Amino acid sequence: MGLGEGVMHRIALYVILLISSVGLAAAHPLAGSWRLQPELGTHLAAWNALDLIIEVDGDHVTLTRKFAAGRRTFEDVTKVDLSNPANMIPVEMWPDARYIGANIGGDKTKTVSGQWIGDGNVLRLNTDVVLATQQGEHPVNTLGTYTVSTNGERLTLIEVRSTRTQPLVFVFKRLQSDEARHTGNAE
Amino acid sequence: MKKIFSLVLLIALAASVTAQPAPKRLETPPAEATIIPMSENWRMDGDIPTNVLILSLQGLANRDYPRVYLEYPTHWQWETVRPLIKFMEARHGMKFNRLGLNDADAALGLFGQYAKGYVVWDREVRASVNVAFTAAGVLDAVVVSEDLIPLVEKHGKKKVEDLRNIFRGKTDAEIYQWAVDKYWDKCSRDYYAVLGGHAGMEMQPGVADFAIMQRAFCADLSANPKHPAELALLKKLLGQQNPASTVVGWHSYGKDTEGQHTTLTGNFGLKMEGLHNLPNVSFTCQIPLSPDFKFANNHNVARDEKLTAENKVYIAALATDSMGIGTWTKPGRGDIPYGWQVLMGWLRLNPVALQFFYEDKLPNDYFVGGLSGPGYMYPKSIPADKFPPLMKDARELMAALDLRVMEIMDYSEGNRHVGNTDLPKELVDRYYKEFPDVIGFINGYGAARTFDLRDGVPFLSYDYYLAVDRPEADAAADIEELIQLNPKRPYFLLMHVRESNTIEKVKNILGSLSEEAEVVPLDVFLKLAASNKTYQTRFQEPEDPIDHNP
Repeated sequence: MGLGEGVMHRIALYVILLISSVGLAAAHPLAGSWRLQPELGTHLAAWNALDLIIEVDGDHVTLTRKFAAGRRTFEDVTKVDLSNPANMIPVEMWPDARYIGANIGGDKTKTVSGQWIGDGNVLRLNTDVVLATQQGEHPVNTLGTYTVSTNGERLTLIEVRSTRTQPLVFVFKRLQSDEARHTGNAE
Repeated sequence: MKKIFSLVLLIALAASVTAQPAPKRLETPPAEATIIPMSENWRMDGDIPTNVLILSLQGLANRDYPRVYLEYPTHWQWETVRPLIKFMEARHGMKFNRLGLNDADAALGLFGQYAKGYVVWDREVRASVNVAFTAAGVLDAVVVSEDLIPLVEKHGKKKVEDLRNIFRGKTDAEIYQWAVDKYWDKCSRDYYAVLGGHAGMEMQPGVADFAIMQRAFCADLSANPKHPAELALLKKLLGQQNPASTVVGWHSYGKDTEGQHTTLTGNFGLKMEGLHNLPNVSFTCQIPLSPDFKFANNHNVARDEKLTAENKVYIAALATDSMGIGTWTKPGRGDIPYGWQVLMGWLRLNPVALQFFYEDKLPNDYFVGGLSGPGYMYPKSIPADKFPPLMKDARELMAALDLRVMEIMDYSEGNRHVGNTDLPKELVDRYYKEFPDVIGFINGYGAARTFDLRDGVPFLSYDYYLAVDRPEADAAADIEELIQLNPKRPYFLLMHVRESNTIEKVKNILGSLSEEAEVVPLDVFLKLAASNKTYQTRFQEPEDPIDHNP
């Protein structure tokens, strides 16, 4: 007559688990488009606006930063495999502090590792980069922690840079899919 | 006698250093002149009609003698309008009569004789104002909107040009081509006026008086490749101007970028003199320097003096963007050593303003020359064959103005956000060759990366850009981070202060540093930087990013 009741239960359970894992991946609290709320955190300087798009697929996390200052824009993409202890990522420009004399140096890459913290909703990225200054090259480490509010609407990024005595706090709001980007337009 | 000889020499120098003739300067200042206070409202749907009428009348009335001085609202970008009145009263013995606010009727009563007629612009077409300014200069006419025709006719003026209804539906390129066809042959080849800046309903054509006085062609043609017809026409016009002549005004905020427009003027070897709202140049260009006045900078070290840097952090702060639009009159000036970039072309266009700044300076104020040459220019955009004569002009202006430091800025391949603002070695070589007497060069606007030291003369770039909206605590943390990133001592941190930051703010930032640092005058800073080269020689490299300011 076909499969037994126990086997049916097991298959049903696997299907449920499979669907659940897919659903969880798509609905990871960090995933989505986020817009910086400049008034709530550290002054961004140089740029007037920043959108952050986060994609999560298990241990594969992709962060796209879209900076804008009037009609001037810059975009960089950081793809991190959290199971890889050292993701080497090319860096075209170091946009984080364009107002100081520090530019991407070394081999123009950054080395990124990361991990999920706690229940898996908090992301921590550890980034090493070499910056070129007027006196030469200088290694810099940045520890970034991405935390989403319990209602899923606010993302807080706290960055601690080895060369800076003050932490940088960036607060983002979740963008709805129909919310138009306003960054990158003429001043 | 010696003073008179010096003055004559200075005036002769001003007239001779370039192929371009300097505006005629009086031998003695006028005994009296008239002030017309201007409205707060500069909107097309507001007081612009009356404002442009008064501006055009000013240009005509001042053409052969300084008669009319406009008192712009207190929010005007060039903040020295009022202090200059007091200065001319006190130092030049001038007396000013005052009309009522925007009183065009009274102004026409007093100065209408200098206008042969009127030009009507079309309130539906913004560009028609610029065409009307061009026509006004050529035809010696005032500029009116339809509703002001009765007023000028009351003063006996006849219509000499009517721009109503002929431009509607046409592009700006078509409109300005019409103006070229009709007026270009009669316009100045020494001055071209970019009456851009504010776009949309706001318009601030403060330099139009000078444009009319000089019969300059007025337009806001775009240097943006997105507007090919306008760009083609603009190139054609600039290419017909006299070598090393001047472009007054400012690019249109609604069409192109500062980088695009200044790059283009540089391509033709022309000097840019901002701004679009620079006031009263038709008046101030004619006011002579006081016979007992001499341009004297606050030098803190002798030209050939050698200093030795200690193992510490040295900081020098400098405000650019011209002194008139900065914080010269705001609290804090004089409290700390501070550098100010002098727009050297003002020796010809605005000498009395320079005399005001030089005489008003405090011991901590130090002047440097700029920007990149005899006007606002991007050196990478200047054809190599046009570079030496321009820099000769700059050299002579620096000598006349007692300046020993040349500031360079180049936004032709980037800006403080993207691309680069650095110079290739070959161009740095040319600067060292053209300016053998300077004590140093400074480069950038935002932070830049060109550094060198040759024969005791450093070439340094800004390491920090203080934005107007940067909070003091964040700025202090930025500077402390730079000190961390540059651990060798001495460390030379050159700081560009965006013009609207007050010196009080800069003082607070520097006073709150947790790291020890000494704030020194710029000339001392350069001499110290010459003594111990902890910075690495660097020029623009082929792989540096390039962005043409889209």
